[in-house]
Amino acid sequence: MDWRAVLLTLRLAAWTTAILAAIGLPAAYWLSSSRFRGKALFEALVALPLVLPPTVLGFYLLVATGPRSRIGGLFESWTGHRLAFSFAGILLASVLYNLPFTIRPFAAGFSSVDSRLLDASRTLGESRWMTFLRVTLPLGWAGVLTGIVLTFAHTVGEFGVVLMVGGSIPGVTRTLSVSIYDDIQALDYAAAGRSAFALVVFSFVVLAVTHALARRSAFRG
Amino acid sequence: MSGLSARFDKRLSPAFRVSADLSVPADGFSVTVLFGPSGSGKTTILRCVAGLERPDAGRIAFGEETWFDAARRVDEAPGRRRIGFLPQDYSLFPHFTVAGNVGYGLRRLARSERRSRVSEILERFDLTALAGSHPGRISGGEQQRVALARALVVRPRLLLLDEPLSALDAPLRERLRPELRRALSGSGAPVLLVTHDRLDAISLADRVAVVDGGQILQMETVEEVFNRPSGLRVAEIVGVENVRPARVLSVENGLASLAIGAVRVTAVAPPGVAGDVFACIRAEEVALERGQGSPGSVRNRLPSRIVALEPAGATVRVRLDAGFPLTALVTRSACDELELRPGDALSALIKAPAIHLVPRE
Repeated sequence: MDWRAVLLTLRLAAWTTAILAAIGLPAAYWLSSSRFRGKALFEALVALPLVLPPTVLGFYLLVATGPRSRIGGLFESWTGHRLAFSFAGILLASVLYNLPFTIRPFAAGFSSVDSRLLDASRTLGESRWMTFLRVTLPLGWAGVLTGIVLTFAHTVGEFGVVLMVGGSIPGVTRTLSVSIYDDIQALDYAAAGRSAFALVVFSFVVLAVTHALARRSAFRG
Repeated sequence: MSGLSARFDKRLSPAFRVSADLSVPADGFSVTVLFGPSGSGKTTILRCVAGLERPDAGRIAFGEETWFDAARRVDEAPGRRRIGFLPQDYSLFPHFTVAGNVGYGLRRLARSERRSRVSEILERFDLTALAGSHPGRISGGEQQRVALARALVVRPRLLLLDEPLSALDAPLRERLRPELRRALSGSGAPVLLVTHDRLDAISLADRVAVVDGGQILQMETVEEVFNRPSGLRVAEIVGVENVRPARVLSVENGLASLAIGAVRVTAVAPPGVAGDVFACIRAEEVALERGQGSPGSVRNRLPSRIVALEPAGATVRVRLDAGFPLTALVTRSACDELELRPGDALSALIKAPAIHLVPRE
């Protein structure tokens, strides 16, 4: 097994999940609690990666992050590193590609909380923020958990976008699924089989644990 | 002035607009009821006062404080208005215990202060034994008491109640109605209460505001509104035209002997009735008879004098003085046959089951 690829994959998944949780909590709260013009457009934009071929997103990201592009140039002048074919590059790609896997379950979790409970909290002296912490988050946590697990698991299994933006540089952008692809290209079916089996087991365990937790929260009330 | 004064507009749809103009005095306990059919806009009025909805125009003030002013772009958050709010289905937090729910609004207090305030109010509402239970595991009546305790423990300056009894089944509602007024009076704060139930309004209110089509049609004492509806629509909504304070003198064999002023009448007694009540009689249940007639099944035969006749379509509203003001509704043909004239003496007949007694604490 390519342990460098395993480690890199976990690092990418952890960072992606952390960044998306930070963006997703306020974004999902905003989506679930407000009505505004163009909300449907915004929701469609968030959901776009669900239906878009990874190569399409990868293509645009590659063009946008290249050293001669504005974003790539800015990144390089700040950090001295290239964005395309780097860890930062595939992280950016992962974050964008996983937006729906985080925000949609978060928003569904928050929307499932009865708005009358939020009204009750606000009349009892709490601000919107404290109401979010004391009511929305504890009651909608199953959605948050689902979003986090889905994002992490989906990043672990990501392939097309990473390959398009990052290529296959060992230890930098060569994630587990990319390494499976490389193994098959090299006709090393045994190595590919080991990695593939590891991914199947991982995905199954993650989903089983998530469902068990969600079920427990449903019985708790 | 002290107390709540609110005058605002809110458009709910292109065709429906709520326009409220009301005041609630704040000198001690009193109950103002917003009464009207469902969909009349009364809950919207309550939610605007609470700050949960934002009017399009107008001003809401409490004493010297401005809570909302469209022109000056003032809109205080609900939490800063220091109100107590009882939502329609109580909305208890499912992830907190009864004690946790009651103490929810006291987060800023020191732990010991919070504890003593919570245990004090749990005691008052007879909830101490349930302190550790979750709201899903207690009865509807208990949930109502928890919600009330939660709203009162923050010592609100104004209490807002949205259909406080409608989530309960009918027998429980009957039982809790008088208890509710007693529980509210203990807080000393003025109350603004929304209901579509006529009996809620009669038994709980000091003042009634009749709401229909987003407008407050009439706002006066219970007796004024129910006995002298300001217009046809109010009369239709309130339904009862005779609501008189009475006193139960005795109950025997299921019949209550009452005094309405100096007049004795007999009514069917609801279980446990005693003391001060409202006697409610629909105008169409009052029959008129010339002379003494022969004794029949009718328990109440009240010597009356006609004060005024008010034709209304095919019917005539007969205003009587039966020792207390009484209104009868008869057909125009009956009115002609009996040759009713103002000043005439006759008998008003009311069956005992037609007198509905509403307990009044």
